[in-house]
Amino acid sequence: MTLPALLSKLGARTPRYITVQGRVLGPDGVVGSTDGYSHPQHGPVTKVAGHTFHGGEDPQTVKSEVWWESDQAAADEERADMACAFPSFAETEVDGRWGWFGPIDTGRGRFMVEILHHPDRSLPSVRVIQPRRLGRQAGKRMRQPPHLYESGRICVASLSDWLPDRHNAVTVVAWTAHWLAAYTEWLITLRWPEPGAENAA
Amino acid sequence: MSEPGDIRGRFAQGVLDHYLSLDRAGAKSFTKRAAQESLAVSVGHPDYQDLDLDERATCDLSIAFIDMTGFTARSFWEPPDRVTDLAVAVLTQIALIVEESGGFILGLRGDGVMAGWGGRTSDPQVDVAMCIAACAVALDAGQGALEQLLTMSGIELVQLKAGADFGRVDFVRTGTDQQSEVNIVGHAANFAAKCEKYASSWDLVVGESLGNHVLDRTLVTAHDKSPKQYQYRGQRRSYAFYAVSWSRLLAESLTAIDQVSGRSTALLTPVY
Repeated sequence: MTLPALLSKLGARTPRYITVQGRVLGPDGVVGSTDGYSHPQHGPVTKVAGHTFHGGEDPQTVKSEVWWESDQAAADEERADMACAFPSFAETEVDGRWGWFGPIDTGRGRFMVEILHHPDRSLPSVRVIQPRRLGRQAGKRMRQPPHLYESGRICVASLSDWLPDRHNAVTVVAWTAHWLAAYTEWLITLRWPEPGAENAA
Repeated sequence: MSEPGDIRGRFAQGVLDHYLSLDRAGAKSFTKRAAQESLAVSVGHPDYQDLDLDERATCDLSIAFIDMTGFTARSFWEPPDRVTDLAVAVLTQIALIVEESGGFILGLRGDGVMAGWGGRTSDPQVDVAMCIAACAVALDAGQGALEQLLTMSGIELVQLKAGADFGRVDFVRTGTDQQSEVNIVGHAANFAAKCEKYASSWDLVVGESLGNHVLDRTLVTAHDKSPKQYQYRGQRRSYAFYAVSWSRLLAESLTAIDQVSGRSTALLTPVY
């Protein structure tokens, strides 16, 4: 805790970087260039865009044309970005919604996640497929982690964090890896290690 | 392995050793170590040193001016050699702190250092943090260990002050085919210099843009003379500036500089 400690003292939220496997990295060794960020041991890494964990009701979407059909260029760009940042993820389609599924290995646990776009290009929804239930056993009951939507989907960011012109599935996978890293910490300590907003998606 | 706080002691001892070596032998016979230290500080931003004449490049930068106070009066009253020796000794050590903190010396001007942190790919928050850290450590080292050493050695004390700001600057090589240098143009650079003028001894004053990166607002206080008013073609805008409580950041600044250890902030990643 050195440079991060100084940043923290200044009140700054320190950015994080996600490896292709989905692990959150510490500060040392990551090098920035015009091609992005990389780490000497972990290879290419993705910078986590600013976000806040939320929860509460699932967000509403509006009816619109299907963006991944009307904007093929953006969809192709996302495919290229995903192939570079998270090559283990594969495309999927669920109930007519385009998305991705793949593994995230936080270093403390391995998860399979599904990320589905909304036709209106709002914040994609994220679901953990494996393990099937999130939480920690508390006696006979299952204690749920914070920052879940009522549907059980995980809330990786607020709606205002999502900037469709700048963000894509790579952003959401990175947010999800960060959420899962925080979740594995919570499983051990019952303390969510990052500040977040309660019930205010 | 050195302790993070050692940089303060090194600063003070470095100034004294450097000064005494110059004072004893005259400026023409620098000790080898002092000369090496001076030469080790290359002036200018490494990314923009190769610009052609009139070519320009742009990036966001944190810029600081760290100056000695009262040096004009001192240069009036004291023997020129002694004033020059002390300026060289102090500025060299400030330059070393800037380098250790991942910054670049952009200019050495008489009684002050102009330094920058950042580049094309750096994180503004890191640039700002390391700029503040370097200023804090330089001010603390000057106020603490150096003051004691100079007093013990019977040398007139040196006082420091600093001004800083953040924002877009343009690097442009200006001059002729025979004589040119890379000039740094931009409001951030201009206002950092202005902040240094607003600062009293041992103060760090920062412009609005840099101050906005200090999210813990208890660390900054609006300066008595803030804001600066600008008028242009009937429009009026103001630009605030703040005093930074740098002493509250000292412990973290020392450890951060120890960690950075001379790597450019453009290559640093601030994470957990």
